[in-house]
Amino acid sequence: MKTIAFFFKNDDRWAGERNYLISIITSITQRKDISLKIFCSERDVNFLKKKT
Amino acid sequence: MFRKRCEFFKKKNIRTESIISSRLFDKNSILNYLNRISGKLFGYYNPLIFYFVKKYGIDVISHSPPSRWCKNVAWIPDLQHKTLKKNFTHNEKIRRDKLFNNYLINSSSIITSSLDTKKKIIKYFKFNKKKTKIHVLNFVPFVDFKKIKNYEKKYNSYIYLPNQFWNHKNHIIVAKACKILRLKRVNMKFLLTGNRFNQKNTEQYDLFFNYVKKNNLQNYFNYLGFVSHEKVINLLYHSKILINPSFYEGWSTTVEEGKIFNKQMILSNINVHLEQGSTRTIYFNPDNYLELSKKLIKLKNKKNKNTNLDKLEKNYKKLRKNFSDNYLKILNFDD
Repeated sequence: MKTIAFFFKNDDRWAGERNYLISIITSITQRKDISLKIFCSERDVNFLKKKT
Repeated sequence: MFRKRCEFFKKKNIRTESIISSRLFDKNSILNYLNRISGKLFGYYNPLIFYFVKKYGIDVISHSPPSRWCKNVAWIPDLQHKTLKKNFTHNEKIRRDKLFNNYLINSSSIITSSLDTKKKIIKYFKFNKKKTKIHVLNFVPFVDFKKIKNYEKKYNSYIYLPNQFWNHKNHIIVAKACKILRLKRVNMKFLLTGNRFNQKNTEQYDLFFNYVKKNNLQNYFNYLGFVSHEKVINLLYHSKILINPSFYEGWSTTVEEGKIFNKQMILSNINVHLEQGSTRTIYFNPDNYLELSKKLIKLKNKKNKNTNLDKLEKNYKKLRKNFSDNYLKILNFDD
């Protein structure tokens, strides 16, 4: 099992980049040979909740 | 301090134990301030990265600057500051050059989305090509097909322009083409979404809508503002044509989404669009509004044939699987 880390930042000005990163992350979530660690702020999480 | 919980990622089918949220990453917190100071003081040797690597047993940090403590894959999305120099201040150009030089000198691998960006990196930067490999990972965006199936269609027969009002996105040429269409008494409807702001102000948005108002083109445009990605996907699926008049792209996500839905597209003839386009794409010179107006008229009477969603989804799953495999190959855990 290998561990991949991402540092996730959320900003509407960079919506394209945000969607890009989400797309990368979601492409490997179902892989059983990969462990994911996504670091993000509480504020980003709450903001994303509102937006989705 | 760390809280491992996140509804958003749950929705995206990401295991919640993967999420580590902290005030350390909150822009306005003291911890974040200390984190940034630590990053500036120690850079490549930032001890906070060492702490995370050891605590969570990280093998590789993806889409991140290089670190002494762990293998990384850095991302260079575009080199716009090298080709559209007028869109950047002197300091911004220096900052981007410094940032990308650091990536190229100290990273294990670099990801770009297009061959065009890779060629430009090789042209403009000096680095050890044997040590740092540049990989082109053609992007396949995340699309939730269930959300499209449940969506109520609100608009009819429209051309979709989903670009944020950045300087390089070139919305104004569409308004200029519409001025020609109006003179020829050709009606069309454009649906626009995206943030009004460029990096600093609403200059492009104001320029565009002032032009629209001055030339009485309001009937051609419907601006919905900044909308969720879910809504973008739905508007795209139900649109007749996708347009992207941009002067520059590192790789256009909306064009990829258009391809997933087998959409008719009309794109500026920049290198990246030529690289990305499908068999259902026509191109135009992004400086030539007359050419654009002619091509829009040509496409006007084409019927919107939406391909069956199940068929599109089946094809999409294959594309995503390939994308995931290619990405993991780039991480190359055997090194």
